Amino acid sequence: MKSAFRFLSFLCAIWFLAACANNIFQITQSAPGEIDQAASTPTPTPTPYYYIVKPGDTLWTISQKVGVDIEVLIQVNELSNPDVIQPGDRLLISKKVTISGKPLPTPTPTPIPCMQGCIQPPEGCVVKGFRARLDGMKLYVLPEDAIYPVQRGETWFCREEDAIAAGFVRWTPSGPKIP
Amino acid sequence: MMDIRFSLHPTLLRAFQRALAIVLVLGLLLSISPPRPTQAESDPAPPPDAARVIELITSLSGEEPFQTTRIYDRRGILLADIDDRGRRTIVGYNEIPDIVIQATIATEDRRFFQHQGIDYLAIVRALWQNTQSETIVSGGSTITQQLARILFLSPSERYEQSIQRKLKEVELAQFLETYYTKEEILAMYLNMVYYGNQAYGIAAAAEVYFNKSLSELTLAEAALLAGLPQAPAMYDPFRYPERALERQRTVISLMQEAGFLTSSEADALRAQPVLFHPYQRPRNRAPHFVNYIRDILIERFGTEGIHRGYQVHTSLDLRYQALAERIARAQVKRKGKKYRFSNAAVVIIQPQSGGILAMVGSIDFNDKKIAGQVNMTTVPRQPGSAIKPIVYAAAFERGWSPASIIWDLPVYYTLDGRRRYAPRNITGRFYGPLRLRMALANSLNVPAVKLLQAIGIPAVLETAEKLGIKAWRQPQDQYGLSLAVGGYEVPLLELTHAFATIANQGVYTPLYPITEIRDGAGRVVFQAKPRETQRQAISPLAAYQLTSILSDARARRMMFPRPSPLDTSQITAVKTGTTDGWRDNLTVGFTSYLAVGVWIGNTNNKPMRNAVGVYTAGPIWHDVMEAIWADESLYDALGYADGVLPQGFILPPDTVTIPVCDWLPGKFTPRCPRMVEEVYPASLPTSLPTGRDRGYCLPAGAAPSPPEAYFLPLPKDTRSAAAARNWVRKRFLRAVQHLNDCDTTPNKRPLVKQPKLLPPRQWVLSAEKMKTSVHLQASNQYGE
Repeated sequence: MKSAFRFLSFLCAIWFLAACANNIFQITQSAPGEIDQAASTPTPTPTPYYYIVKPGDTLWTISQKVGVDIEVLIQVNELSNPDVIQPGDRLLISKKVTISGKPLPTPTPTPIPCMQGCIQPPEGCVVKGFRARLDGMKLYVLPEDAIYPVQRGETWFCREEDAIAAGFVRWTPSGPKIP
Repeated sequence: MMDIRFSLHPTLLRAFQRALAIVLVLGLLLSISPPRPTQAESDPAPPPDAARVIELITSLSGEEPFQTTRIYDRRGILLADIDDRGRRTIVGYNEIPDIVIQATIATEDRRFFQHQGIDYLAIVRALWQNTQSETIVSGGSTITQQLARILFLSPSERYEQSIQRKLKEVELAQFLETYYTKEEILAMYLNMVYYGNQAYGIAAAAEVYFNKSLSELTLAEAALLAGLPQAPAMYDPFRYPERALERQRTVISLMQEAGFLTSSEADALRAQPVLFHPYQRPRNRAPHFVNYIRDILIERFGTEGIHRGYQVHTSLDLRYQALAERIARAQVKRKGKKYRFSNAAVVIIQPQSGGILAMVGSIDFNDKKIAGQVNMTTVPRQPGSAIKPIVYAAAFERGWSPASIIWDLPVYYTLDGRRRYAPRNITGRFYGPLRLRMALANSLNVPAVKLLQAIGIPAVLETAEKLGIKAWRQPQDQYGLSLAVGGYEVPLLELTHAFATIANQGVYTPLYPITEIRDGAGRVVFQAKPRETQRQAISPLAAYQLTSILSDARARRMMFPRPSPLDTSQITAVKTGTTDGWRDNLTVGFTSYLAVGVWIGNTNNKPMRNAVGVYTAGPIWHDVMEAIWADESLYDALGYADGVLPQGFILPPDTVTIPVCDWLPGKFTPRCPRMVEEVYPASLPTSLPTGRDRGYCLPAGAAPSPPEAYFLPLPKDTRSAAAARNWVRKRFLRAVQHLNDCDTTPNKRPLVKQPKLLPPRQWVLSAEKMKTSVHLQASNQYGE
């Protein structure tokens, strides 16, 4: 009986010591500087290297989308005439430079299809419906429209009639014509 | 009458004289043909107001005249003009002072009120004068003819000296005279004609040259302006002031001739100096915000449509903007070198109205080195841990609570069948069983990923969308488990908006950076209606549970030791974020009436050095909050003009608080070190754990309690359950027994001692007493 009690208190002591050790261990471990860096991501968003110019893009809209100064875009891409960029042009967004100063071989050019979080259109469907941020009005644009690329696409239609049937109104440079 | 003196080649001159002669003859013929409608004579239209002038010009020229659109801050301070096409403000006839009308008529067309569109007398005189002097001294164009030219002829046609053009002009002038009153014609003319220096119309001219409104013009100034339309470039008052003054003298003489001035008045006027006060464009103090507003306007009204003279009233408050900018700049200056960051962005949102009080897109718009023109509040960036509250919001919406238990133990997930993803905490350690409160407050990665795995990615995407995150629009299968730790980009504006929704008891209000738009005629074309467009995004309870965790300074102590910039003088809820490779640092936090988001980093995505959100973005967030609280005069923008801000957060009705056993991360023992109160819906899930829910019993507070209050369940899947069991065994040397049927009756608890119940948390506040300030004691539960 007594030995059993001793054994138990021995166990208790060990448990106590273990707990203490655990505590000390923890205090020394919680480094205050490093807090909440997100864990390595399994599907990281690729660093953009190239941007493929879409119809209606201007250097300004591209610089806004990719977060690179317009001057830098002009310099890096050695654009002689920055007013002329063609849809399909490939713009270098960032250059990786090794310590020796040599540029790294560029990985497979990664086009940034939708920087603003838009949805890729189904094949051949280019009528883009969106809601105006001002008042939520349902509008649709076509690729030739000036604001086509900067919109956050919401709904894609293959024909204008479908967009109209869904209650969307055609956007025009002088404002939508409300029927 | 044209009064341009310049020599002309004799052949050209002769051609012109011939043209004028033909005009004279044809004009006489034409003047007989269209009879004036009798109706117009018997019932003359009243002098047109601004709206009527716009209507007339639009119907005649086929397009609405462009006007300067102005953007104001919330207190009516002008932020910027949109005047790329030129400046113009259309005014009604009665708003034009008589002196302007007199000076214009005397200069351009003395018999304007008498003639029928063509002043033959003037033409004859012009012809005679021109023949005499062998140069063109004057042309005989009336105001009506000039208006016809502006309205109907294309710019290239306008300056063409041909008989056809002249004939067309005469015909059109007579058309105008037939159908419109003299007041209408004069009002259209004074609003359309160009005065130089991008000023179209008399109101814009008064503004551009004298920085005055029309009614403030003096006679001398009116005389100067009236002389400009003939040759705005030649008489440009800024470039050739002496020519402009000479021209003004001529106008004064013409006014005297026309009988509008006596000779003594004219002399007095000539002696009077004219002072130019060029219009100062408002210094653009919120360039990113103005561009953002411009974008929204273009999106709705089109690239041409924005030039319609809108008065755009926005939610921005320049005082908040200046304050945020100053604090952000100071922090970059102070700590930028140490952590290697060069830029910061701040956005302040008012949750109830959806208004943006400040938008600092970069610390210097004009600094090319940091790509200052890029608005870092609207560019999508990885949010890091700052996204975790969204995941927890989705969980709380689906029955989880801050007291729910999650096991922070090594785990891996197999991605696309091959690669393994093993989430790790920043400390590299695993902390065993945890309540969600501790997991979120200390920003642990493993529990966040496990939680996401448990509730599913679609659930989180749905909740995020409801809260205000619009950036995640890809198909659901494009998103992986790194969603829980901020692997997917979100603009700071949207992230802060989502926090604002949580701050507003889960009620989503669309962003309303624009509060009201009036068109050129003063009619309201848009008004923000936050109350009518709000919707409950997540339940008030879920919002409260999140808020209570994010404002729980005790719970986050392990990771955020004192002193921490996250601790503020008033109760706030806050979350930080740091992304992979030290690229972005965030701190987003809120009170019930204010949400502030801060980003720190490098625009070109260059990594910082050992920079974590709490020490880089945190101080900016802290200082912005404190600076706002310190200045009572700012409270009106938050909806509390009386100078008393509410404290804490509203506890939703139909809830109960129940004490549950709590422990620090990694320090679980079956004997509870303390009890804390958690909030539960009044209808509690009280079902007892069954034999299948294997786990450990914990001491409970008062019955009835939800099972998680007194029962520590093992994870459901066998692999994790085995790991959990091992973890417990290793630490407690089999001292703990599995108890499948925990006894919840108060005196039959599995453990001996009832632990001390902690006093209520800081954030607990009685409902509907938002305005009563609650006195709170700082508590010291963790032996600090």
